[in-house]
Amino acid sequence: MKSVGISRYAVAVVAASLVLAGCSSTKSSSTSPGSSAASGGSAAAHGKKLTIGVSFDLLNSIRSAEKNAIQSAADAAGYTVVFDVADQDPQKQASQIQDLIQAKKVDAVIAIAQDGQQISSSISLAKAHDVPFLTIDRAVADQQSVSFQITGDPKADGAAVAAEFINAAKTTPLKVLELVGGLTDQNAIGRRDGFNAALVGNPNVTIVSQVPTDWKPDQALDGTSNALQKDPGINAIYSPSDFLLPSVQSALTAANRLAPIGDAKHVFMVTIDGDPNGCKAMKAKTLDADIATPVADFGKQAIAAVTTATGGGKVDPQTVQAKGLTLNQANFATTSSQVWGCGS
Amino acid sequence: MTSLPSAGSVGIWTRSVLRRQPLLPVLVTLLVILAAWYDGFATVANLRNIAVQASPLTIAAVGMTYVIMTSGIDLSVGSMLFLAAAVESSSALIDQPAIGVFLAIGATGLLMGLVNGLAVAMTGVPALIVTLATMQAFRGAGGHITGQQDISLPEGLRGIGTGSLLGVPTPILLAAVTALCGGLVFSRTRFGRYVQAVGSNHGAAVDAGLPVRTVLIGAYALAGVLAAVASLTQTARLGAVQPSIGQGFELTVITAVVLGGTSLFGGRGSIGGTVLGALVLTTVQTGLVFSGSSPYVFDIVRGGVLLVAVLAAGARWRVLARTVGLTSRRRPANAGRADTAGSA
Amino acid sequence: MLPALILLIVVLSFLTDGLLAKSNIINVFSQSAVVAIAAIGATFVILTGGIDLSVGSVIGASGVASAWVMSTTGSLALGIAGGLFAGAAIGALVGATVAKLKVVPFAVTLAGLYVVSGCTTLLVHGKTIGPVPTGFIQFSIDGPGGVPDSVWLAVVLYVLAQVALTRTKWGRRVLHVGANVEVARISGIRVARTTLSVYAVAGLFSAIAGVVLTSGLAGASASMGSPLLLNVVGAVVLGGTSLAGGRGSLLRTGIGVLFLGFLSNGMSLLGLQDYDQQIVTGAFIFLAASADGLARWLRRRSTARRGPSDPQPQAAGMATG
Repeated sequence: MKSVGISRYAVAVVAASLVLAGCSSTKSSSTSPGSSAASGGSAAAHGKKLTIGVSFDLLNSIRSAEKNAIQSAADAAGYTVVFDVADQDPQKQASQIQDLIQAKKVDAVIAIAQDGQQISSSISLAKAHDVPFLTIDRAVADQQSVSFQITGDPKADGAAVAAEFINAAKTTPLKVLELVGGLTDQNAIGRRDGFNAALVGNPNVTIVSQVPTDWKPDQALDGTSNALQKDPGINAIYSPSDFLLPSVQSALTAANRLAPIGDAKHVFMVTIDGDPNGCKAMKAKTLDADIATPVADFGKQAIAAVTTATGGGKVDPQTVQAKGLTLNQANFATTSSQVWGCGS
Repeated sequence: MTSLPSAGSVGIWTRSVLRRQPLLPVLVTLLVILAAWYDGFATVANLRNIAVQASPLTIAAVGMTYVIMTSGIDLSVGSMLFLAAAVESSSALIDQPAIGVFLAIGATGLLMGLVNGLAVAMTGVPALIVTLATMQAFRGAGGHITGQQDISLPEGLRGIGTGSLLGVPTPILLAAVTALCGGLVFSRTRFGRYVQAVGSNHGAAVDAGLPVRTVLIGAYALAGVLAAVASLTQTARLGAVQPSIGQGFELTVITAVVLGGTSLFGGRGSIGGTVLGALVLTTVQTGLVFSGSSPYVFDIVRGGVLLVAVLAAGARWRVLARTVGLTSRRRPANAGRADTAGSA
Repeated sequence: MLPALILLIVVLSFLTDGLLAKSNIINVFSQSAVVAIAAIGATFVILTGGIDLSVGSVIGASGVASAWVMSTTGSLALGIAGGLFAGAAIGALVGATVAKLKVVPFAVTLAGLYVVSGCTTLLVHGKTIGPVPTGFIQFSIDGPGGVPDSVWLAVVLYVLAQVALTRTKWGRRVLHVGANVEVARISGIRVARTTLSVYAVAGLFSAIAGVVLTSGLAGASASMGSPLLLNVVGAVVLGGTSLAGGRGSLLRTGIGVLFLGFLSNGMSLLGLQDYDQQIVTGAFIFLAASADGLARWLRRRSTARRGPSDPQPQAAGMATG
């Protein structure tokens, strides 16, 4: 092995890394490693400059909104935020949180767990280092060990979706295609179960097809196309997140069935989240209702909880479930301003 | 793929086609069984759906066929898919007219392919390692461009996935053109012959004075361009660029190619086989959806299908070699690369 | 490769704050443990001129098996045994297909990747298996001297594996098969049996890695291992073990693992975004692999009779042993 040769290349690439480091440190998302408190402990008094480590499972429309909500609440409190994205890889998330706690020595961690069970190792690690661990958006398995958790209420949201279907089915019976999200996500499970439970016994609404998507857009696309093909009688679709909406719309377009309300081809559709795509579809009347997630609340309450927890206090209530806001064609004019996706 | 025998009886022709494309009766049998079993399977709409879903796979697999025939491999296809999509969605291109964008993406594909090809041809690093490295690097570059965000595609760029020409969906047209050109280049041009020569015996090709390096670079460059074209189609169908695009795609592509009869040793292959391989895989997937099976079953089936294909190919080769009295002269005596036939 | 590793650490320690802090070094080792253990098995496979693409899936499958047994029987020991057995069994199956059915390792392990992953996901219905006993989680968090038990385990396994490779008859057989199958066969080595054993051993090490990962993540999912394939093969390659087989050692792989570990850690400390880290890692893997061949090519430039040097630019993992 030519050790000198390799060393030469190693130096060259490490130098390139330096350049990259220089470029990337001007990026807004991840800055200021390290913080004031050496052990990141609970000694931070009110008014002290805290650094908060934020670990997301992925980055998309709603996550960006959640990130901004956290950032603005943090700015208001004078805190700094260090931000990481795990690309849907639980091991990467565990690694990143470990870096946040041990290397960057953050004062608190706010996480959206890719895997509600496997995040326990990070929770244990945070506890061992006396760092408050907060979770938002997705419920974790070990809810007792986190300092604070704020999520939506997936079962209630699923039921809200069902309510829209039940209402619409009074005029025409609905045969529903139900997409299901990734089953490591409590939201996916809750949104499915809440929806299914609310429909039990209703004669006008039938679920004819359930498509597992694993929160993957291409699975949603192919699954929807195939379902529409297999059962042309489908006249309604439930997508448990606006994240999958582009794929569903694509499948409908390919089957020549994407049409606004009033058109005979229109497929009754309801989603959850309230992101810009959802809002746009509501305006174009291709989407009938969207249950919007209270993203701003997540940010505000999480930061407030950080202040309490780092001050040594106990956060009460320890878990909060925030219901979604139903946006449908009837209340669009009055309600759309409260939906985060319609704001931009 | 060779030209038809002249003026022979239909029976002889059929038998020779069947011998060269054993996948054809497999595909036909599959379609017949599925059509008989499931209502709605044998409709034009469904078959068109299958062809559309198979298109990105087919396009990328044609490129991969060339690479594998040179006795190489390209693991970076999935990441190339993502990087091409990322470039397409970048702020520089997203508001430009479609034609310009498509050309730019084609150029991106060429560039990516050249990186692979130059690395493989000039440095002697095994293709497995080169493309393993570019698999990482390309995905990182794509992430850098998109900032790991989801980016929606404007209407103008989605036509290539959802539109149609003369009633034939655009993806199918693109795949058909790719397959046709790919097959013609393979059987009618010097490049095609050289690709097989290089793959079948690298050392002898060099000794014979063939432009081996150019051929290698060309094969990988072609794979890059076709990956970019596949990306255009797939992303247009999805309607958005997401960080998970293309993950695991390379394995599906390789499976389609191997299924189609192309030997992983190089030197032996068929574009027609690859197309059939892609169609068989997609048909099986659709069939599984119709049967209501879990999507995870598809993974198991895909693995099983691959194994059977390779076993069958190996067996056929051994039988052929034994009858013709061939010994293993696939490559110059090389460390640990004993072939199966005749050496046991 | 050792000088390169040392150089990397030196350069990074100048560029960053705290790379050489004791807690950070422990961090690097602890985060590398799983990849390190799986890379042991991968090294053996690659030494025979083969490749194992199913590493990630076997990690997931054995992790799931062990977590499931643990949560149903409540026994830690049974759980671990279950996981190890699952991995070794899958490895043996793969090995048998390669050795007896003479299918190329690339194809078999690719098929294995799909089949194992699909079966595992199907069996758990896409969910994660947990919780696992707290003592088990501690294995990856803490240990003697503040270094987690998982790291000590990896070190011990490396020593054992290196001894097995260099001091046992089996190890010598592995090296001979990798160097030249024909000669090995002629000299009386039972090639098929050796090949099968190598893949079974790889399965076993993937299983150990899977169990350790389950401990580190406090739960097991079918897909938790799939991102690791890249790092495992990358580490072996970086270390300098030749893909053609016959040349290499566990020591080299260990250095490769540490190289990747410090590189990743250093980049994190530098604040590099995740995607930029991927670019750098890819570049390094390529450079390390090419440095050797590039030097040789430069020397031979004037008499370019052969094209690129000995390792032919074809797909590795084609030996059917």
